Order: sequence, then structure tokens, then C-alpha cells
Amino acid sequence: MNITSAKYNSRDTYADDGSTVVSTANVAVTAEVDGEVLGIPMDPNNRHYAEILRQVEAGDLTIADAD
Amino acid sequence: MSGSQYQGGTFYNGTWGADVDGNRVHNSQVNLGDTVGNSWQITGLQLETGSVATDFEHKTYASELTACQRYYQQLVGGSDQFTFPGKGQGSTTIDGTFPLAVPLRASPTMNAISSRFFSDDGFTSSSAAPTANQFIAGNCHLGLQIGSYSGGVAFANNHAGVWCPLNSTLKIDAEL
Repeated sequence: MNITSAKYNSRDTYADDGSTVVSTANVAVTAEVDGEVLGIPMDPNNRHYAEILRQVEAGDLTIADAD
Repeated sequence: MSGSQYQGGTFYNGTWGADVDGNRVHNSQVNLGDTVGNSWQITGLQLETGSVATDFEHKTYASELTACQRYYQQLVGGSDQFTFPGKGQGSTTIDGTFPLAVPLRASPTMNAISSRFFSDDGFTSSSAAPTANQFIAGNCHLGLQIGSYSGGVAFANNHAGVWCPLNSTLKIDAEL
């Protein structure tokens, strides 16, 4: 599995007024895997995310911060 | 093998040969490796673990398809015809839902697609990869977050509408 880039996707949580952001958390990773851009959930049972974690642990990949 | 002693003969691949002993039974020898991209299709085999062979299981197409869909599903887009509920989540992303044929094995990977979000204000487009942000084991609905809707509609939180994958093929991959 050739992963050439990876970047976190974040998600805002809003207050009851629907506009005030109360928290922001990373919820997924967008990565280019074998030449294809993929949306990958942060679930260790997902094979792509498991490979991302392995490559990060090995020092072969860095996940960029979300916008 | 062919021929009168079944030790020779001529192999006619896809054409009729003369009606002589040497040609009556072709030798069925095909070099599977002589061309890149050759394939070999087999059926009627059952591979099992262990040392005891069990009776062959005859499964229906429907049951095989359902078993496969636990690991992979896809939707071939049909222009703007296939639409699914969604709502604005922030100023450039939406929360959408997608109905699954069967529950998935795990939270899936999805590919980048061309999609649109329609609301009363019109529509806006995205080329981003949806991400599964609500996967519940055993559930036949998947919650998606699709980002980078950057123009066309001044949508925001709780702005209701529908999203569609346009002509893209949305691949939902929960394979091992």
C-alpha cells in the first residue's frame, strides 16, 4: 500500500444555538493511496487507517494537520 | 492428448480441423502465461481449511452478493437522480446519510467523488472524498461528512437539502 500523503479532517461541534463552535476534533484522514484520494475513518479496524498508523509508527509517514 | 494413440495430434484453438484421428480430441494445452493480462476462470470448486472435505455448498447469487457486500458496496452515480438527505455542517461541509445494502464489517474508506449539495438556495459542488463519521456496527445507514463545498450556496448549520454523487462511482470499502 503506497501512501504518498495524509491529512486530518476535522469536525466542529456546535452549541445549541447552531453557530457557536464548542469543540473541534480530528475525525478522519484524507490520504492518497496507490494514486487515489481516499476518505479514511480513524478506525483501527479499517485496513487503510491501520496501515497509516503502522507507517506513522515506523516514521515513514506524517499526517498533516487539518485546515 | 489426441491422435490414434492419444499421444499427439493438432490443437485447433477455436477453429474446426479436418475429421481425422489426430484432430478428434484436442490436447487442451493452453499457455496461460503467454500474454500479460491473461485470466483463468474456474467454477465449481470449494476451498476449505482443515483436512476433511465437506459436501459442495450450492449458494445462490443473492446470498453470495450479500456476503460480499459486508466488505464492499458501491453506488454508480446517475447524474442528479440519486439523492440522499443531508444538512449543512459549518460553512463548507455537509452531514449526509447513505443507505447500505447490508451492515458493513467496519467503518469504510471512500474515494474522492464529484458531488453536489442541493438546497432551496440552489446547489454547490465538491470533489472531495466523503468520510464516514457515523458508523454503527449492524446499522444499515452510514453517516458521511463531505467537505469543501466552497461556493454557490450560502448554506450553514442545519441548512437542509440533499446530496448526490453526480456521475461518480462512490466506492465503500470495508475490506480486510
